[in-house]
Amino acid sequence: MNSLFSNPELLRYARAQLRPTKLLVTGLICALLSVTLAFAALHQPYGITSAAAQLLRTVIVLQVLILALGGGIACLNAVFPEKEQNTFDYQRITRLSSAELALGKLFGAPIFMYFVCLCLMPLAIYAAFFAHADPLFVLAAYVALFVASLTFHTFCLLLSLLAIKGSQVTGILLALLLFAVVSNQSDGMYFRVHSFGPLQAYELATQHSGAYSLTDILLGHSVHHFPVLLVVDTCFILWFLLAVVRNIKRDPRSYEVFSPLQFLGFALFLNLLLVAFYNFSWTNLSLGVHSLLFFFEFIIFFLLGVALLHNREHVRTLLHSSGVQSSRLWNSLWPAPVLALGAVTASAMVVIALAFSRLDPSRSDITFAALRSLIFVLFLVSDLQLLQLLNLRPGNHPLVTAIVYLALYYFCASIILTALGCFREQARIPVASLFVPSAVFQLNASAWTTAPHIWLAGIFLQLLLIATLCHFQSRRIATLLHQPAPTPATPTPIPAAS
Amino acid sequence: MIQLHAVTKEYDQPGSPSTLVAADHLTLHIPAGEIFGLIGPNGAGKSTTLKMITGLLTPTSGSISVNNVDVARQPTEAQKHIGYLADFFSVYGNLKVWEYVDHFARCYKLDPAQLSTRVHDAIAQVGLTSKTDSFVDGLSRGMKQRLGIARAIVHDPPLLILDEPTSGLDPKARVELKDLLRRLHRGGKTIFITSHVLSDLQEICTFLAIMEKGKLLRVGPIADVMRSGGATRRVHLRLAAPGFDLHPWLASRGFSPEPPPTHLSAEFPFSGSDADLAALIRDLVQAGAPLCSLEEKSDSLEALFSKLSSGEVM
Repeated sequence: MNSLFSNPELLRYARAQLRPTKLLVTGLICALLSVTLAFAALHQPYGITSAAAQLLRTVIVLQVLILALGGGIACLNAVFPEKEQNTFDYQRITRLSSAELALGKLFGAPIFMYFVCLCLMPLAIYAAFFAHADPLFVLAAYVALFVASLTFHTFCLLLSLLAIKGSQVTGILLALLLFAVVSNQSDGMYFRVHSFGPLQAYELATQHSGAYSLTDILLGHSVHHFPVLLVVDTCFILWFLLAVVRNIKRDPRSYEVFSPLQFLGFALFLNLLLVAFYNFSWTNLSLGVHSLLFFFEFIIFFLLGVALLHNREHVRTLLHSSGVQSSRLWNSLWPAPVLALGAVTASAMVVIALAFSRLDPSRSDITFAALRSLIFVLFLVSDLQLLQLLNLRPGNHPLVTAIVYLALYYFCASIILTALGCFREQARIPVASLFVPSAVFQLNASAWTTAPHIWLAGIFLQLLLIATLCHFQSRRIATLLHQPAPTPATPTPIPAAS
Repeated sequence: MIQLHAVTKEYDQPGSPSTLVAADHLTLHIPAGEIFGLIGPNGAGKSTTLKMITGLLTPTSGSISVNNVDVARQPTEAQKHIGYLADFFSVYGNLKVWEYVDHFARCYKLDPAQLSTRVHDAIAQVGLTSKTDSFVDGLSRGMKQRLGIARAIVHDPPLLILDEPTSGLDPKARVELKDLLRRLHRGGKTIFITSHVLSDLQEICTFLAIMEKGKLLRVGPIADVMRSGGATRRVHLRLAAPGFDLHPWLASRGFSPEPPPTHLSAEFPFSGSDADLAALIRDLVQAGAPLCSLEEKSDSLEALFSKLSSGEVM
C-alpha cells in the first residue's frame, strides 16, 4: 500500500485544487481577513484578553464551518458525480486497492479546505496568546476539530458512495439535520454526554484546567469529554471507513454496507453507546426506565436492518454464486437470524445494565424488561421480514413503497387503537400489543396479570407472521430462479486460440 | 485472450414485472492478437458485456477470464491486463494532459523510475505531445478520445476494450483513431471494440460478433461471418472501348448481368471460386474484349447486419 502522501488519488486532488495561483489568492484573502480581525480585537473597549478570547472562538467557528461543512460537501461530491461520468469506473479498474482509493478521496477531496484552515492558524495562535488560553486545551480543541471533521467527512464519503442521485444525498442530510435539531431538544435528559461534533472544539478552546466543565457520565462515572469524543469519533471513522472500503470497488448494484458480522458489530457498538451514556436516573413515571432504551434499540436496528435488505439482483447473484439449494434457505430467512441475534444481544445488554444500575426495584423489573425486549425483537424481525419480502417485488423503488406501506399501517393502527382507548384502559393494553409494539411500553405486572393469554397470543402471532413471511419469501425467490433458454448455437464455428 | 462461459446478466426493468436479460448465456473465445468487433442495436447488451469483462459489472451467472485470470475471483489481477475506454468522454477537466495520464500510471502502480517515460510514451503514441501541458478541458472531442486511449494504454495492457470509441467524432478524427488502433494492433494489442459505425469495424476488425437481445447471432473471423450471413460476391467489369457485346457473352456463360448503365460495363453475382474467376477473365480476354477494369464487391456489414437483425437468415 502506498503511503498516504504518495497516494495517487490524493495527488490528483492536490494537483487540481492546489494550483499556485489559487493558493496565493487564498493566502492573501486569509491574511487580509486575519489582519482586519486582529486589528479590531486590539481596539475593543472591554480589554484585549476578553476580546482575544472572543476572537479565538470566532476563528474556531470559522474553521469548523470551513473544514467540517466545506470539507463535508467536498466529500459528498467525491464519488457520485464521478459515477455519472465514467471516471469512477476508470478508478475502479486500476490496481489501486479499495483502502488506497478510499483514503485518497477522504483526505484529497477536502484538501483545499485544510489549506484554508491552515491559513487561519496564525490568527488563531495570535488570539490564543492574547487570550491567555491554556495551550493544552487549544491543542485539544484542534485535535477535536480534526477528528470530528474527519468523522463527518467519512460519513459524507459513505453517503456519496451509496447515493445514486444528488437528491438522495440532500434528503439524507435534511433528515440528519432534523434529527440533530430534535435530539438537541432533549440534551442531557436521556443521555449524559456532550456532542461528538466538531463544534465541541469551540467549547474546548476556552476551558481552563481549574474550571473544567466538559464532563460526561459513563456507566455512572464522571469522565472528561475530550477522550470520550476522541474514542467515539475514531470508532465512527473506522466503521464508516470500513463500509466505504468494503464497497468502493464493487459493482454499485451489489453494494452491501456491511457483512452480517460487521452489521452485528456496528449495531452492538451503537447500543453499547446508548447503554453506556444512558441517564438511568431519568424519571418519567408513565414509562419504565428501560422502555426508552428499547425504543432507541428498535430504531437503530430498524434503520440498520433496512440497509441489510437484499434487492432482487443481489439475491439472484447470491443464489448463482453460492449454489442454489444451499443459499435458497438462507435467503428465505434473511434477515431474520441476523436481526434476531443482534437485537437479543442488545436487549441483553440493556437488561444487564439495568440490573447493575442500582435503581429502585419497583422502577426496574428485570423479568418484564426481558419480556418487553422479546416482544420488541419479534416486532422488529417481522417488520424487516415484511420489508425484505416486498423489496423482492419487481417494479420501481419497491423498498420505498414497502416502507410507505408499513408506515401507513402503523399510522392507521395507532389512530384506531387510540380511538378505541387501547392505550388508555388497562384492560385493553394487551389487545393493542397484538398490532403495534408501542403498547409494550406499558407492559408491567398489572398489565400482564389483566390478560396474560393475550400477551402470549401477541407473541405467538408475531412468530406466526414471521414464519408466513419467510414462506412467501421462499416462493418469491423461486420465481427469481427462472432461467431463460440457452442461446442457440452460433452458426459460425469459433476458432481455437492461436 | 478473453473467455466467456455461459455468462448471463439479468436486470429488473423499472415499472415492469419482467426481467431484462442483457446477456443470455454468452459463450465466447477471443484469441489473442485479434481486433474483435461487437455490433448490435442499442440495448443489445454490448456495453454490459464489455463491463462484465472489465469486472465493472458482476454477471448474474457464468464465468469470465482474461489472459487466463478469472475476473470474478481475481479482479485486480485481471484488470492489469485490460485497458478500458467507456462510451463517452470521461476525463478530469481540471488536470493537465500529462497530469491526467500520470495519475492513472500511478494508479496502475507502474515502476516510479519508468513512470515519466511511460506517461510521455503513451501521450506520444496517441499524438498529443504538443498538448502535454494543456488543460484537458481545452481539448477537442477527438483529442479527449485519444487522451482516453493514452490512459487506457499507459500500463501497456495486452488487451484494449473500447466502447463506441468513434461516436461523436468528426470524419478526420475517426480516420485518425482508426489509424491509431491499427498501429496498436500491429504493436501486439488485442482489441475488443464496439461501434455503431459498422463501416469502421469492417475496415479494421479481424473478428466479428453480432449481438441482439443479449444473444450472439454470429461469431467468427470477419470473412466467415460475412459468408455465413449469405453475403454475395459481385463482379464489376468495364471495357476500354465499344465493339464487344459484353452482356450476351456473359449470359451465354450462365451469368445474369444487371441492366447496364452503359454498354461498356457489367455487374453480376459470382458464386464460383477464385480459380473460376481467373478462368472467366482469361476467356473474356481471349474472346477479344478490351477489358480495362475488374472490381470485386461484397455486401456491406450494414447490409448483413440488417439481414440478421430482421431475422432474414435466422
